[in-house]
Amino acid sequence: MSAALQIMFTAIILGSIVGFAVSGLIYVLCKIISLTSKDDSEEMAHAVAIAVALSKKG
Amino acid sequence: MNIEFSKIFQGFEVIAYQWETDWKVVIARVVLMLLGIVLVYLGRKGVLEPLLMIPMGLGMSTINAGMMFFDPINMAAKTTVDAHKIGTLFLDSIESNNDHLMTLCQIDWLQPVYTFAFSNGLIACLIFIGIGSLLDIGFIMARPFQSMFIALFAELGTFLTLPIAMLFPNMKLGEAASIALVGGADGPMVLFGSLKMAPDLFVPITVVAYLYLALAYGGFPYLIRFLVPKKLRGIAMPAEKKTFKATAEEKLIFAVIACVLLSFLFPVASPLFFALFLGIAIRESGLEKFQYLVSEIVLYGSTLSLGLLLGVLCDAKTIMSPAVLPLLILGMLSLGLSAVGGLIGGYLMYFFTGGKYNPVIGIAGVSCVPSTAKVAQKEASKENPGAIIMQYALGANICGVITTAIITAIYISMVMATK
Repeated sequence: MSAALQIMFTAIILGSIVGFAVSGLIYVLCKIISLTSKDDSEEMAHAVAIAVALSKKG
Repeated sequence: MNIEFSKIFQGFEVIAYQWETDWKVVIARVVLMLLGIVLVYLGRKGVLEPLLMIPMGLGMSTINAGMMFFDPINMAAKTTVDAHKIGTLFLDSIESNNDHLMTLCQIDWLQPVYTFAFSNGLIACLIFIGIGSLLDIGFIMARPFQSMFIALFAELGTFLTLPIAMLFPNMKLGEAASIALVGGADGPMVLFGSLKMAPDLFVPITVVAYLYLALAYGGFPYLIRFLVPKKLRGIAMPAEKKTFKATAEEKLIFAVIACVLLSFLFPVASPLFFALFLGIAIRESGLEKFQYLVSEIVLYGSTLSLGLLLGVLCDAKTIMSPAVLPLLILGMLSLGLSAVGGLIGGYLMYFFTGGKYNPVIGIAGVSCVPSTAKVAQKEASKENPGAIIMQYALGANICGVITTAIITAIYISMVMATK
């Protein structure tokens, strides 16, 4: 049981650190390559198109 | 010449023999045959995931119907045949002797697929390549921290089920960790993880995982309606002032860096990371022919093989193993806790943003790409047709795959270190 708890807490801590590190990597990458800010409409249109396509598929 | 009808219609003879030796197996066979038919019906109706449930249900019914007196190893070796050994012409999941396996590969029609593609995790990786080729990581790149926050909360079941499982008698650490992975809601990950950590139980664990993942598709909407009030389900997400729009090249750079980095950190799960990011790399490289190959032929071919194998592995003997009941309970617990955890994450985001975040998005953190994102969008649309949350849900959804892969890697590394 103690081994299970140890693994669980390690997974929570390490999982969170690595998870957010991946997020940070994405964020830094986006910053470095100087992504330009843009209007949300394009992404929204993309999402709507996916939502419509998925709902048609059931 | 005497015509023995019991030899021609051998099914009756097998049933009569099993009834005399162990009547419970006969009952289990009948129940599983009926359950298989129900799964096909529910798959056809769209209540459960049809791509998996139709081949799985039919396989389950057929394997329990098609049992006969069959001893292929001794028949091939021309040694004394056990006249009462019961088998099928599909596969033998228990055999581990290499010579016997080679013999079976020439007799049982699904044995080569099982031996060379299922029991080594190849199908899991092929499915992951296909899934990767469908993922648009631009949804994570638009809001990386928010998506990761939701995805980590949606791993609640994966975290908590491990120590809970250890409370069950005779449960080994590897088995507990494997069944806990059901909470990550990624079938290939459970298959891969259980192969590494609980090779003796990987068949029932994988069957239980896929069965629940199919049920989640039908059950999660009810959980959302139970835990999230109508008013909150219909929250329309406000247009963001500023979001990132990554180009294909930038997504490719991210995929390559993340794949190498995660494989370096967690070598035990590197086949999974590689498969996932290879799919993403193919998509973002604009390799249209490869994209078609992996997103259509490889993905659907592997899904069909997986569904067939999972159904065929549901024979009465496997399902009646005493180890299966705890797995059924723990699998449901793990997936349920993860769904609740995801919604808690959604609620926290709702409070952090001052009521501007639709908490239903939380369910999408329970990866299962793209089913849970579809469920989230459908539930939001039902209350407010103008509530488009798909882009947020897909971000959490894809992040869920990455977090599950990370946790699988941690579990495998730590469990293997204790052996």
